[in-house]
Amino acid sequence: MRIAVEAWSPDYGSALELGEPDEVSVEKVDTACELQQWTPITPRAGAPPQLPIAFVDGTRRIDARVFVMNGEGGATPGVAGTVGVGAVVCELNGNGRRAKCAEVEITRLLAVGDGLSQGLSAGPGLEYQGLPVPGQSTDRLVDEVHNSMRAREAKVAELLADRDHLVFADGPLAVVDPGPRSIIGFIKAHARRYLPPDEEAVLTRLDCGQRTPIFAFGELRARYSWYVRLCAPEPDMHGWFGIARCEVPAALPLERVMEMADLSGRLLPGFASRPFWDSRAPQNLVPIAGLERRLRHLMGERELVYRMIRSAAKRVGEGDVDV
Amino acid sequence: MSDDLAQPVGLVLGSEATTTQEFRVVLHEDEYLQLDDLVLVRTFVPKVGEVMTYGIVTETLSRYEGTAFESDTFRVAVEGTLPAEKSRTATVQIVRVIPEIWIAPDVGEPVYRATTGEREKALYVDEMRTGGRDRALPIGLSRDGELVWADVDFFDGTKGAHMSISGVSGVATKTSYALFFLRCLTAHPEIMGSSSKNLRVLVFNVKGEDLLFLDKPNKNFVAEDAWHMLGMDPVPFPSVSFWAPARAAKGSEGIPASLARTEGVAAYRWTPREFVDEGLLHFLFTEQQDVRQQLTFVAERTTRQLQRFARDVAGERGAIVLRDRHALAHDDVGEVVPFTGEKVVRSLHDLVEAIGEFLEPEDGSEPDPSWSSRTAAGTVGAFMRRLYGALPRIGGLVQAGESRRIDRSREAVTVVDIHDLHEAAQRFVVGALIAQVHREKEGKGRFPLTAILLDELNKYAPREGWSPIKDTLIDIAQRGRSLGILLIGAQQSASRVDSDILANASLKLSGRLDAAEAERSEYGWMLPSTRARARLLKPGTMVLSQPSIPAPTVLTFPYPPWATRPEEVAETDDPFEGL
Repeated sequence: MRIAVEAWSPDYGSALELGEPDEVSVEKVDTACELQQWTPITPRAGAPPQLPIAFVDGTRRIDARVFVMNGEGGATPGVAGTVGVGAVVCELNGNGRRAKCAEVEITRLLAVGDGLSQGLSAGPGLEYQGLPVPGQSTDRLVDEVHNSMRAREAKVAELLADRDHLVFADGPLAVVDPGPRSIIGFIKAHARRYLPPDEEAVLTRLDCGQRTPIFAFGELRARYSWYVRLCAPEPDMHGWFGIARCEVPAALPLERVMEMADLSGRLLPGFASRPFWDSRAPQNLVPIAGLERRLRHLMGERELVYRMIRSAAKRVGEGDVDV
Repeated sequence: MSDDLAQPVGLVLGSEATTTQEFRVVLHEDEYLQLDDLVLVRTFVPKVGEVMTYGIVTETLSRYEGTAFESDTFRVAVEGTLPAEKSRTATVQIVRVIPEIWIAPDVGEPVYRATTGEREKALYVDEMRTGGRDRALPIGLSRDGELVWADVDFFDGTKGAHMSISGVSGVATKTSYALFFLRCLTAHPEIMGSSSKNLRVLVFNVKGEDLLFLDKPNKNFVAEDAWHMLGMDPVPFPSVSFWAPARAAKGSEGIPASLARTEGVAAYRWTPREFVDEGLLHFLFTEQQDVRQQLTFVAERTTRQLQRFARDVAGERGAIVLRDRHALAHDDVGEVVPFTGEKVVRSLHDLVEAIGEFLEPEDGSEPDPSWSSRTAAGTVGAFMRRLYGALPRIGGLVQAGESRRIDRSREAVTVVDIHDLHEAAQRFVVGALIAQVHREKEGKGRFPLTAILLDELNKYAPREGWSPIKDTLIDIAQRGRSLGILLIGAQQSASRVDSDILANASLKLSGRLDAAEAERSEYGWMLPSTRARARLLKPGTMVLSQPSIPAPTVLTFPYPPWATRPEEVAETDDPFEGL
């Protein structure tokens, strides 16, 4: 009997929440794209990529819950949320290796139910744009703020990919289909099983920087995917420790996908975080953590923002400002 | 507004609070500030208007913003995985606000380098020039090559006086700076006014023969712009007289005992007559235990008796005999012819023996009560032993013959060499001369001023104990302003010098300090950052505190045009010329 402690802080759940072994993904998975007989793949050696590498991420925060009243006694729920997206661009060739934040954008949204479009001006840098949402469910309002963030992330990812960056986007490529662009969806936590047991066993045998063969799935949005290990396996951890999943649009030629998969194996361990440094190590990559810190900082102090929303709302009630 | 002012170097940092004492500047990418730079900020104060805040940079900082771990530096600078901005800031100590509305400068306001007129305001130069009097004397240069001024009202006795210079030995800074400062005083009559007219300077050469070449050009000197910036011609001291102890050997009395320089050096010593008249016996009793053993009391009594008894000897200059004026009623004032067998005092040895005749009669009888004033026999014995003990050390300085008193009126600067004397003899000479200056200036008004430059002040005015020299020095420190005597004291450790003397010095300077010494309260006038730097100061760099400016100023001074060693003397004349 052995007990392994999850490397992620309990605040973030687990990197591994797979459920029962027979609960295999509903997707139809093709494991024979690259290799018939699965075995760990050591990436082919190569020069560091000439293109800059970009890590795209977003973060969101609900600043306040509001109710919009129309004077007839009815109150429509809404949430004021802040969405921050951006990228970290790393130039790996040459001596001047530097990571720089790029395309950073903070957006304030006022999502209001019943399809109402209502903005709020709470001060300089605190202009909340109206985001109409059907219905009155608060969860739905929060989801829409989240979706808005995902859409903005996707836009940044596409923009940078069009500028010939190799883009790692946070999470699965779910919102939009990027087409044949070099965008790799980087998935930190595993909530679904895609592989049959034999192939899954290969995954647990990966060494640092090794990857599984490429597999394909997705009927609606077809994707290629692979697993890669970001750090050396530790004997007292479970077999999925340090594993991340990558996916790219199936519109890319397989040869290019294999190249990208090898690159991910070569590059990502260098960006992996360490347990003392980040509470979601190693999957929360260092540039992403740095970007999130920056975005959260740019969103402003939560308490202060909340107070400014309150006083702005009060002024709206007194009819002092146009909204 | 000058062009420099138009370009701010940065902004007042707003992520932490500013105070009326200190703020930080976050620098623009293409600008910098270094230690001691002067800056200014404008703050708009409601109901008051614009307030100018002037400050001095006391520290500069640089860091990666947003990094939490020390190893993040590698992630940012080497691996290039973590995004971080480099931030450079400078800490500024506020030195002045105009008008005097004490508010913290507003965060986010642009910070400008203080240049030209603004720089002078930051250093209170405008206040040193009020009432139609320019009292701002350039006394050095800042790190960026601009002038640093001292308010001479606080040196010449108008509002304050004296200077105290501390610093470790061997960095050759204390005396060098003191001499440079004296040169500044005399080079600017338009600022010094009556203070520099007929200014007399008494300098003691305590180490080596360093100061015996102040009138000689230095062959290593290369004309520096600094001298011209300071408004001075780089030339040696024009008017200096040098004095060295006279040789003891008979027949060579007029020859000074200095080795490195013989030409232009006069020999000094006192005759027994001068010794008695000036009460120099006191200065044979300058050690700590002398007070405890009541020897100074006996010395006091003996001095008075000597002055009463001493009679000049006819035909022998400076020699005396001791005669009781009352016992010999027929004896007139003026020179006397010694009786047969009467002891003629021609040297210190003779004098001690003559005193012994009264205090320790050879026949074993009781000491003459008018000399001993019934002091315990043991004390009188100790007194005589000390007198005999002083003979080998000081005896050479007292000899009958031609008067070789040091004449300070001869030249503006009088350098007295004491480096080769025994410590007791050094104290004797210093005590005798300082007492002489003191006596001359007493009750005669301030002008002309006399400055005394004394190194190793801790030997003459130590923190603990009493001695006649310390007594005089404290009096000068306290009343020197009105007497017109300005003390420039130098010492390795201010903590070992009498606190009254330090407290009365308006201008305080420090060169490099020993680390432990720098932590002492005597250097409380330094900022913590200045203290830390005082361990690292290079030769030619000093920290100055003056009452006019509430923060210490770091200054440098140029290489001297006069020689400080025999090897440095530039031979201007052909020695065989005219042969």
